[in-house]
Amino acid sequence: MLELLDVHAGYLNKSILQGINFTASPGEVTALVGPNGAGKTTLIRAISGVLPLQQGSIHAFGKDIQTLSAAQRARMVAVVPQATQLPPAFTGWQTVVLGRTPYVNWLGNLSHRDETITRDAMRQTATLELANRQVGQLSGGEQQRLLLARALAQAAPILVLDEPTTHLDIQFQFNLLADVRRLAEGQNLVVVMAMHDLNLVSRFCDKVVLLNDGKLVSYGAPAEVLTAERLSEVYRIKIELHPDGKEGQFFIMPTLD
Amino acid sequence: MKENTARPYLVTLAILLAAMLLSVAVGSVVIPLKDIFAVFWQGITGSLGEQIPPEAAIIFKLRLPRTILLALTGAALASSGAAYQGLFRNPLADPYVIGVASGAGLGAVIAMSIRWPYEWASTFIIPVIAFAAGLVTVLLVVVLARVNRTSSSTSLVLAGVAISSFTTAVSSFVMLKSTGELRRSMVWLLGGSTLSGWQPVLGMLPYAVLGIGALLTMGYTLNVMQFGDEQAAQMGLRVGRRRLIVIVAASLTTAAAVSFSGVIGFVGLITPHIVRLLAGGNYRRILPLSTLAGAAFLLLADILARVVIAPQEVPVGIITALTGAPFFIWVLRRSRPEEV
Repeated sequence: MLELLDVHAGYLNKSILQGINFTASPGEVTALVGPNGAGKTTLIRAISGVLPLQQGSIHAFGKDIQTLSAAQRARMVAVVPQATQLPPAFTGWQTVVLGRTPYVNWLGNLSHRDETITRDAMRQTATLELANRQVGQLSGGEQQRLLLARALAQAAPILVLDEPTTHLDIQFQFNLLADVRRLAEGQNLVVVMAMHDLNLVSRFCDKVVLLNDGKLVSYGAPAEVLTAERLSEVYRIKIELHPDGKEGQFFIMPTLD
Repeated sequence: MKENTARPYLVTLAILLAAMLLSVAVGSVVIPLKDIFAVFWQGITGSLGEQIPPEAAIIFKLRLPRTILLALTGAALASSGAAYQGLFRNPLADPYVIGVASGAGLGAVIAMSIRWPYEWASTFIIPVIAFAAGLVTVLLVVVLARVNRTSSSTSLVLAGVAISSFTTAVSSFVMLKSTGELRRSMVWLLGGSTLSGWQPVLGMLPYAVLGIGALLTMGYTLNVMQFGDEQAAQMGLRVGRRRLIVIVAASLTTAAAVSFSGVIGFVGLITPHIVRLLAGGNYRRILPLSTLAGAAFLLLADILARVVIAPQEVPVGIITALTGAPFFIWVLRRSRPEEV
């Protein structure tokens, strides 16, 4: 369980997040949505503990993450970063095995258990065949899957993803989110994911946190939060919802007046 | 999946041993290998006798200490170069480019310009002052390079070059004003060892062992830090503390090299590059392999320095630059851009 209580955070004296409250539960995928600059990435940095809070607290299964050491925190919260430049000369295995950082000693010697967990993480993300390939020669989708595998190797009960589908084509977007869904349910993970694509959110996520200007606008199931009226107001363009046949699902479309 | 192969280590070690033997053999008097082995054997078994043969004197009093000093220097420069490149994620970072070597050099020049009451005092105090000056310089460069809380590769190199020029200028000024022997500083500045015999070896050994030893434990840390500070912290690393340890260890290592062997460029820059191209991006391998390869590279350069205009010697720093620069360009041009 991940609980945010009155979270204020930002840079220097400026508050970006102002009083965020929500709770994300195990087995559920919670999406963070909102326009650019709404505070999604800042919130993810706060949850992962790299951005100190100005006020409020974040509890991971009852533990205040601000009181934990870096390694203790990394055992509770694993992060899949936004598509970044990976060290090109690393192999897939070298990349994923670094997820074991909070468990290994100073020299980074791996135990049998570390290797088993790393291999499992790669199996679950279908990255085993990338183990000996150089990361620089992999596609964006493959690199993103390696980062997901690395986060799984961290074996943390809370998984945080920062816009994991950016730069991926629709096939990879779909596969990655299906993987995340399956992992959330299969391993009972708390998954929090910053997302841009509202249609993907409505299909893959259980809960939605709608942010605007650093404040929480609405929180709940996608059908409750993602209403045409609310989205039009937050995104400042006219947005319509079209039912797509299945129960509770819809297309979200900006429209011209 | 794992890479436990010992082959790169064995190959590098073999090259290093060959270079050490060659370094003992080559000079104004060429000593055949079988004589070297014979002298070593006599030395080990204590059967050299009262009348030490001239070859034995050359080997034990001149060639062997010089060989060990240069091997230590090459190892120190290459291991600290690899550490800086890994830490700053910048292929151009080396002890000279980021200013730590010229900072240590300034400290050493100031220490040399002082008349120390005892000879041994200067041997042990010069590296301490060089270390302090080198550390201050690298921290200054890191702070100056910070723009908006992040330091880009470009700003790091620019700050390093600026601080380097500044400290080098101050070094030159101190040397001109110093009452000490100018030639000693000049030779030192061109990368030639000014002291001979075992004294510099014994002086350098504790600093080099401590610094290189600490750096060799940082391979995993550097691997994690290849993903940037933020991801490293999210993976559970205490980034600030680890970075400080790498900087202190690399600066100590650089200062040890600069204090006893002078200003020798390119070893710290190109050795880790070559190692990376041949052995991949894992710093747990790059650090030890660079240490061995740097020692071998500097020894081979020194052998060349002894023979090109024999019986005169060229300062080894000139040779490393003359051979290193073209080789570096060749390596850069044949490698794929994403690997550099």
